[in-house]
Amino acid sequence: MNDVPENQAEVPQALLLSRRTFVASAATLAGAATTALVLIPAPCRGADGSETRDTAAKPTTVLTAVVGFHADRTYLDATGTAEPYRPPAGLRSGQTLAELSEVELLSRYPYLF
Amino acid sequence: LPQLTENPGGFNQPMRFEANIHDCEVVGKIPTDLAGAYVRVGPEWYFPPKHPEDGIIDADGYMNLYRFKNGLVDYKSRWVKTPRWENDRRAQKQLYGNYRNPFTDDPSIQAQTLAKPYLRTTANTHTLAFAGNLFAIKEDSLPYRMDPRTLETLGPWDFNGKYTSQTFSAHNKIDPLTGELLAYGYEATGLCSPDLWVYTIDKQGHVTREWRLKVPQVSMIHDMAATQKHLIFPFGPYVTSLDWLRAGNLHWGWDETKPSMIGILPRDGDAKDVRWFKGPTRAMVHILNAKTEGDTVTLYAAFFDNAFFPFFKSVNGKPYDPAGARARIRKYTFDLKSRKDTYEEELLWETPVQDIGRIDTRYMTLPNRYAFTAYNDPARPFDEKRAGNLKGRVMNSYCRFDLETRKVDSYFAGDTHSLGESCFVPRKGSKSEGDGYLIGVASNFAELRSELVIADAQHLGDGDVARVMLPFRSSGLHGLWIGDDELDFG
Repeated sequence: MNDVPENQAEVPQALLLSRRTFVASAATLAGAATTALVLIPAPCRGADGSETRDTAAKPTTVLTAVVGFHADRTYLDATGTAEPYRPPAGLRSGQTLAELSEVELLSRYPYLF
Repeated sequence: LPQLTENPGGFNQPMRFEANIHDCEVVGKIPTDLAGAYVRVGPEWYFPPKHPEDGIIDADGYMNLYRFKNGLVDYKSRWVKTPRWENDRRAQKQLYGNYRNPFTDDPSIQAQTLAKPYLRTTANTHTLAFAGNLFAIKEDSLPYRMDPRTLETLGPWDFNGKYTSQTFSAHNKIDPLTGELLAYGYEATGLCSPDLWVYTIDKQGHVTREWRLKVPQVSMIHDMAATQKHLIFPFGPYVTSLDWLRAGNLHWGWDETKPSMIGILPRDGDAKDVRWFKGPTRAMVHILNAKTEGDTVTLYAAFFDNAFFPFFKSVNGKPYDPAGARARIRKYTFDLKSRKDTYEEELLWETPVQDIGRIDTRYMTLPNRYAFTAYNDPARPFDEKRAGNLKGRVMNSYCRFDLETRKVDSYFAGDTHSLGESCFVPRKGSKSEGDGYLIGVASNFAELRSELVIADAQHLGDGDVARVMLPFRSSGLHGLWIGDDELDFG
């Protein structure tokens, strides 16, 4: 039995946004807006309140923070590269196995699955 | 031996949960022609074992499914809810004793398990998609049907009442030319019975042929091979008896005085036509493929030099030697013209490999060139600081081994990883052997999570095509790629 409502059965490929793509896109848009605000140079004023610098100066290019994922949770990736997060020190979760003798290891986990 | 009732912690600590993940994190791009599911089954304790000497292969069956659709991957996992799992849940403890030994069960269920040992199954070994059904299988009972959309357990299946063996092996073969299932059950009529019953089952799930064989010794027959002409049943010195079980042992004992034996049954013959061949002691567990050319049968397998499982004790009281637990790819040749009951064995590759190798299953029963499996490449790095000191003990690579030229192509999973069983997935529209993807699940010890890796099977050296990152460990032993044309995963 097809339990998909008829009007939803054919979804155009372009509309099949993944959660990751959606959140990242939204974050990029939000980040871009924030960047635009941050990078508009505030006018510098002299002691008498007169503007002393060209307000039309071009902003420098910076990477925008994006939303990344680690362990299926979001985090703000300040590098802007969206590379997967890697715990720098590692969890060393193989160490308890490493301490087993060969016979113990094969007894518990013959295929190390 | 270690006490299995203690939790060692670390990577393999018990999971105790079922999971749904919609839209898994992916690094790289999932090929859009991957439409279907990678389904794995493995042992995962729901309650700790009743006896500390029990083996991990007695744990509850746990099925996990990676659903590939429109370039996205969803994940789902469920325990196989066998009568044993349900009884344990009601009792809130492990009622069932050692591996396939009802004499060690709790008195509350023992009368039933002695009379019907197949009710002890955990369905924890492999999966199968056939005749529109998804199964979880262990070789001590009928297969258990699972709902491919929900992974809920539907119950045992006897192929419309015509499959009469009490048991159904975890490894069967589908003939790619006819689509029929070649299946068998050993200890077919009860505990320690010498009955090996063999079946062909058509694409609709109806039994079309049955052979009833008597084996010369009651042994573990974990896998079979098939050619277009023959069915092949290897077994070694893993033996059992009712006396052995009454003494409280796990089902199998290792008797190094017994030969390895390989039965060859003509597909167009009768049970009386089976021939039994003898050879040197090996632990014969998993098989790659076989072929018949004229009067010669050739079998390829990564068999162990000697005993593999430490928890199956020597029946003669000899100590276990881990040096023998080394599987290597070998070629076995049988001359059917000869009256001799021996065969030739040839070692094809010195390097030890994971014995659970795979092939392009479109070439099952037919001559083929490539075997895929995991192995440890000592030239590759391992980051002990981040993963723990497992260097040299992990399966860090997949290989494509050419059975003709012995050339090895290799894929490296990473410097904190160990790979489980691989699985070949044909590229959509391809026909030539090995044109497709090699997939499998890697354990990442630095991040305590599982990662499903996808590589181009013809260019393993190029590394990942994509990698699916789970946020936790996912247990599994054997798995299959099941296309959308085989089952409805929703």
